[in-house]
Amino acid sequence: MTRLALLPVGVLLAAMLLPAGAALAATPQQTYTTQCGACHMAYPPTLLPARSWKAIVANLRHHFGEDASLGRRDTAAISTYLADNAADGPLGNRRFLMGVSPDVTPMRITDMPFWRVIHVRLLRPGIGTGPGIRKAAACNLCHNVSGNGEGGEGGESGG
Amino acid sequence: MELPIRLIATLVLASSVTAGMATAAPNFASDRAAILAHYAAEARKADPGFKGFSAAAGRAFFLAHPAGARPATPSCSYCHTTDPRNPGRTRAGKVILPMAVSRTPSRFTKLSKVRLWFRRNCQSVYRRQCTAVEKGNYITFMASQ
Repeated sequence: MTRLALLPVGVLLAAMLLPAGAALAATPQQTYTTQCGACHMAYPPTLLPARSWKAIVANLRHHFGEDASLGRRDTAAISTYLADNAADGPLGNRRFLMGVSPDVTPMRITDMPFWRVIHVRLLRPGIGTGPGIRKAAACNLCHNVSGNGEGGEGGESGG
Repeated sequence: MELPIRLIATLVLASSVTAGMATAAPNFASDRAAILAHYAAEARKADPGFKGFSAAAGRAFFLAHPAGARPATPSCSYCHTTDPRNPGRTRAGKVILPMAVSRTPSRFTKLSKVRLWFRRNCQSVYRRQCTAVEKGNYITFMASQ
């Protein structure tokens, strides 16, 4: 009888704990999209080799002029996601490695030969990697990027 | 004997549903008050004479161009604009929802998020960690906007 009476208490406890548990269960991709996508488009990981992502994640404290460091857990989740989906990762597309020397670690997608061939017009002074880098960094200004949890502009950022 | 237990079970179940609804509907004002209380306690620990946060000081802090700022981020207002009721824009072109609480009511309601962004953005703009007083002033200013 008393055990039966305790059952609803268990249900109550479960109901209280469930939202917290659900929030913790973010996938590595969701962590990537939320955290990295707060400041810039969550670039498809296949656009860089795994060694590039590794170098970028290792130095988030100095990330293109800003401190973008994260907690240990989020950093680890993002590293896993990027390694798996990098151009040379198990889920990536090696075509994006065209023209990349194995000795070179590109630090920007705009340094990738495939990108420079396709976007030759953006490489004009002041547009591509010059003062106009903002535009080259926002793929969604020209591309309709709907995958990767990216909904164009309007992402949330800041605390 | 059977009836009271069923009654209790029903009552507890009903209350658990109510509790679930209460956690689902966020209470931003009280969450923000708790974060301000957290920083006030920290400020009092550093200075027992701490008198409270100032929106005016928070505004000055937000608009200041510190001498040692990283060139990419000369001030808070560089990305957030000088009026926090406006949306801001990151250097990579992404829209930042307004920092003003009147425009983005969920601002400063989750301590882990508040800590993360203060830690990084203070480092970028002020080249150091901000004090509890500075953080409290900043939140107080944004809550007044």
